[in-house]
Amino acid sequence: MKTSTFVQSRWPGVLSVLSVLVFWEAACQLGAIAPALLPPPSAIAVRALAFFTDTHLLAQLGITLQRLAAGLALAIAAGVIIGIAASLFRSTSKVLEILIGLLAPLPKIAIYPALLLTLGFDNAPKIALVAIDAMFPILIATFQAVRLVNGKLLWSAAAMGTSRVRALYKVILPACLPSIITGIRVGAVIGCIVVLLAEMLASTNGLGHVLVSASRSFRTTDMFVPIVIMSLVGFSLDKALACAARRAAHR
Amino acid sequence: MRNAPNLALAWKQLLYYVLTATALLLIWQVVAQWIRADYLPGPAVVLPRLGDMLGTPELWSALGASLLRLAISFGLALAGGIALGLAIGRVPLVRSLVEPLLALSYPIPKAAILPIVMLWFGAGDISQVFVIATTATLPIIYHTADGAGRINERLLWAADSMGSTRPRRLWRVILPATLPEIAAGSRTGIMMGLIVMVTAEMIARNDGIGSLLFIYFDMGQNIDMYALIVLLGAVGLALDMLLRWPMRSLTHWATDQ
Repeated sequence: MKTSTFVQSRWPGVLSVLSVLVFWEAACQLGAIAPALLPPPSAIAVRALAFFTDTHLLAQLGITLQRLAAGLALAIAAGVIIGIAASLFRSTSKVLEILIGLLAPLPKIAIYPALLLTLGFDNAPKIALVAIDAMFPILIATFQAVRLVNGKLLWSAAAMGTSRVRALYKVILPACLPSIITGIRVGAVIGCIVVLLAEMLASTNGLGHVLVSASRSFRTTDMFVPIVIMSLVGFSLDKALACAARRAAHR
Repeated sequence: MRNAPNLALAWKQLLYYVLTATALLLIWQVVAQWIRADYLPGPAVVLPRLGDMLGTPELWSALGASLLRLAISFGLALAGGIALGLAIGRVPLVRSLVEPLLALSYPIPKAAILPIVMLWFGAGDISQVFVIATTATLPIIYHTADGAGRINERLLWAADSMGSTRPRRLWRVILPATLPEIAAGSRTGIMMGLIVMVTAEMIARNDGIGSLLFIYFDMGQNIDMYALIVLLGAVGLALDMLLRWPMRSLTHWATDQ
């Protein structure tokens, strides 16, 4: 395909992002948009920077990140272990395949009230929801990757006297790592979104609660801050994991 | 249509699904009977309650409101997503202009912006449709752009050399060749739309199944609440199946499905 170097460079992208911001800012400054409805990006940026000097807000971020970390850790552990264990036998792989087909399309957020009832109102239901929602992409990625591991690798390992359990560590896990990390990438972004929503729906602390209380008192700029922060967290997690996946693939 | 062995396979698959679902319900019942608590009623009481609720206008009006919003949002998402996706996939300048914006919008928690959108469009349908449609559009754009960008150039040369006009080439070559990817994007899109639909209703607390779910939760009507959860699960499964079949027959000629 014939394309100029400008079109293929990153400049059109930078240009379009900048022009959206400039247009938004101008529309607000010229009074075309009421700041109570949509504050200018500069005001949001100033408030988002002020966030990092406010100890109360930083504590809320800490609470949210702890819930996210706990939920993701559970999701990764469950997803990887179940995914690998089930793919070791034909029968268990068939069962897992059906279970995934049955459970993956369910809107997991719907069980949140049930989690609140059974686990209480503290950290547990939020962590559980993050874990359940983030687990599926990790489980599916692991399960598919293990089944695609080249049989020759396993035969040569077995021929050299590697036991089945040792082959798991030495052959299957390294071979699947890039796909597993890709699954974790998807799960991590989902987790960031779900933890915020879980806190918005029922919580007395965390970033989601900051958002809800700002919305109750119509502090529009403050409503943007938790969303910007959580998007940044999701964005950086995604980029960091993409980097990790590339490294794992190059080994 | 398809040949017989495939049909038999589909029935077998369906049987497996039904058996597994029954097993899951049995496990739920055993756990519920073992715990014996108000907060976890078993399916033996929840499923009959769901049957009773299906006879009430209250449930149908909530379900109708939800599904109507989802349908409108999905229609908008399909139209916008396919149009933008084809433009991104076929026009390099559009791709380099729009892709960074899409990449930036990917990690934004869409349902969480509902309180802000409600400032603009009010607490009614428009705000929720806006959020659901935005969510469902993104995967459709990604998949369509991906599919349209990977079309075998020879197909386009062949169309050109046979004197096909640009619009005709788009309609007769590019769109059909992208259809399998559009189908995949639509499935992801509607599932994400369903999740955001429930979440938006839970946040807006206006009408719909998500709102009713939290009303039952607040009132302590636990059996009704679990019945709605089962109903939402069934809706999710039904949508998944519904989009699987027509898409498969629309794209049966595609090799790697």
